[in-house]
Amino acid sequence: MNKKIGIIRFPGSNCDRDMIDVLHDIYQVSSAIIDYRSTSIGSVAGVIVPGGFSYGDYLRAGALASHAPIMLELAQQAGKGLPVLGICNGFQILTEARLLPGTLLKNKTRQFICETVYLKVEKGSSLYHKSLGQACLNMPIAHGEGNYAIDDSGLKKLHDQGQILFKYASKSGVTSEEFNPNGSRANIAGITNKQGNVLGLMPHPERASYERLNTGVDGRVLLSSFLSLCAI
Amino acid sequence: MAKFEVNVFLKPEVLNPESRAILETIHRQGIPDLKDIKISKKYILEFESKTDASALAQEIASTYLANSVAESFTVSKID
Repeated sequence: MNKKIGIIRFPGSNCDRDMIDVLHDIYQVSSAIIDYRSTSIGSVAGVIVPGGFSYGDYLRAGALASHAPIMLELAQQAGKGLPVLGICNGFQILTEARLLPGTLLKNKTRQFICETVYLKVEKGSSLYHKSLGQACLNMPIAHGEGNYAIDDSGLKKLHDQGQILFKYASKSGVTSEEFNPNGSRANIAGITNKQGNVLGLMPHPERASYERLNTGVDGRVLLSSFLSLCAI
Repeated sequence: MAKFEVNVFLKPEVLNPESRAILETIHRQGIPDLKDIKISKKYILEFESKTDASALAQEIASTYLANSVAESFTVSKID
């Protein structure tokens, strides 16, 4: 059983080291950096596509990274069930690569948003849905393009197939427009693929994992869930 | 050498916050008649080959330059 987590590093990734530290410090799990030019993922239990500004957000956020050599291999391994977690820019890359449906547009507010939000866990059948329970999680967001967009039929599929994991909400779980920071369709903050092994979300669990940072530790709930999916 | 112009637009049903900001500013200057501003991103593709590259230009536009989830595009030969 491989206990390492692979973290893909693109030019412009900037949350890769934070993730290495959290996995090491909180979970004693070691990581392997995977270069974007590589064509092999190697022997890892799961892969994280970290946040940042890959390729300077040129063309569209995540667009150029989605065509990097490693992405073909990632798509193949994800198709075979490898757990993949995309955070912020990682989520944008996964949608551009069509590993997750929809896309992320400029925030409706026209501003880069840096704040903490509450996330309501939606109903679904993935391991994430089962293990996260019904509590609202508190995590930071930091993005200019987090406005999740999908057409009507795509949204219906997400609902019908239980692929929505997180919606922006109030502390008590109200998912109204008032608590939607960026204009995301149906307040969506995180979704899985149909199989439930690929998850993308805009909030940063790795920035809500250390008590000393005073940003809460709700990120651990999600990361623990990811590691369970990786059988770690 | 063949040149193609690719214009990428947000689909009409997708809100463009940049367009709205510009529109609101112009309205405030006393020009309420301006109904909308559509913004496109223009790319000029230059090909080496003398053979017809229209199909290739279309493919590049649909695969790389536009994201069909939220964007549409036009391709026209300019040279």
